[in-house]
Amino acid sequence: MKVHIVTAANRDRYGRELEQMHRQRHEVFVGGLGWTELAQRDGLERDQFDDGSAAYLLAMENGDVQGSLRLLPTWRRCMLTECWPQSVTRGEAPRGPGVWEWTRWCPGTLARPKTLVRARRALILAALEFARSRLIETYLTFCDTKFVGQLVELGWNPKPLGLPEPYRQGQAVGVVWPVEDGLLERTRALFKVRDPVSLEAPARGRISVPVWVLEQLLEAQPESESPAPIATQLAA
Amino acid sequence: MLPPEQDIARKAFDTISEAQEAKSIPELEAVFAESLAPLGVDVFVGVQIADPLRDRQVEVTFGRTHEAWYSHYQAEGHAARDPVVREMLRSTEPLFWSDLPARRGGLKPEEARVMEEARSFGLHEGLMTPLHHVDGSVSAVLLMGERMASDAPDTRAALHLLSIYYGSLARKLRQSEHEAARQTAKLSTRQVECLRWAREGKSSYVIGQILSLSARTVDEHLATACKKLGVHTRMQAVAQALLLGLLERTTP
Repeated sequence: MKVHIVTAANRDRYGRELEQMHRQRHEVFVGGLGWTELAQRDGLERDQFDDGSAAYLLAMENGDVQGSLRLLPTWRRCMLTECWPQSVTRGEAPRGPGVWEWTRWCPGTLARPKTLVRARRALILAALEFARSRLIETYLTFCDTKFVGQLVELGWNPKPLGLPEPYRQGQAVGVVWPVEDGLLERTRALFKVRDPVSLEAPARGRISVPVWVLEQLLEAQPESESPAPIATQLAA
Repeated sequence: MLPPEQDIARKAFDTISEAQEAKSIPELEAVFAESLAPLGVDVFVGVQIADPLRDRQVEVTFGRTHEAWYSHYQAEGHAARDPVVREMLRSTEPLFWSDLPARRGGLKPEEARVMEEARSFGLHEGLMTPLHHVDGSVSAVLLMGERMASDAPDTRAALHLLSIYYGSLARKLRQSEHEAARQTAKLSTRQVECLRWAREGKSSYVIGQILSLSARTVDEHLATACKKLGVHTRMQAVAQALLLGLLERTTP
């Protein structure tokens, strides 16, 4: 499982994959979780935060998107402060350079639990690799309370920004956690993963390879012994 | 006298920050006890359900329990009819006992009996918070008390948040304690081999035949393994080594 980082710079390479992502988000959020207000006639879930400032992590396998996560740079867009400002009762939510928000966490469907587990791990690691490449110091999110315990178990130190409040079918709370030095290494050790999982394709240039070719090249490499970080290879 | 709402939230946040610094489970318990006592919580435990499908059992894995109620509960086999346990298995949401009739649309007589008996032990209100762990398993944190506060929305939210942190921090500490035990109990290759065959029920003589050692040497290996694992019999040693994951094929 590799994770592609998609931003405004390289998104024109990812037309098909982004559509798969929006479709899966619709299946998971509207079909699975019953968030009916997100329903779209075309079966593609998207909102006003899916704009040029969002970065997407796409967990891919066999040429298809298996899971995704949307990251928002809080100095431009932030769902917590724009959609649920009342949930922050403990000071103010951090905002600014170095602070990004996890939104639309969608590691896959319960119909394929094994893929979901692998996509979840890959996305978590990719988010930490992304943090390193962008000098991100702080992540925050407004999430179902069940994820807070999981963040604690991962050895991260989530700090609640308020008390949980009823949200759709469950309880949700805003949390913020520091991306400490060594968090990536610790999480890799926890997941028993050695090598980077993410890659960021350069913007489409004169010679441009379709994403499915990239995928095939990557899958031809044994995961355990890729000699150098793939992101570096591609950038070189 | 209960603290005012604002203070409840602030106290909960302070407790969580302090708890994240705790280095051991007793330390963690002390931090939470100080915060939960003013809210009328006498009992706070982490539980898991063994054998949820057939012979349902509730096991307390850490925390401060109510000895009398717990042994009565186990003796009666209440886990099989406890409506709180049912909700734990099928819901991801926290549940206050006082909300049970509304959530379940009335209780069956045997379910009502469990709750009635809890009251007779002085446990009038409780909160069950299910925890869904990274590995896919489910456990829960239970808070109970004679005069547990559960009216104000902020109190309820604070108790829920405290439960989440209590359960997940305790789990993390237990895992690192296991890891530490695994580190200290460094068994030699021979000791692991002897334990693996002992697990298959082989006698020292037979193990000696398999590994080309004398029965006496096998005895010595197993005795050393017992000492390292802090147990007395070889079967205890096998159990403890299995628990610590020392008999897996990948372990040298």
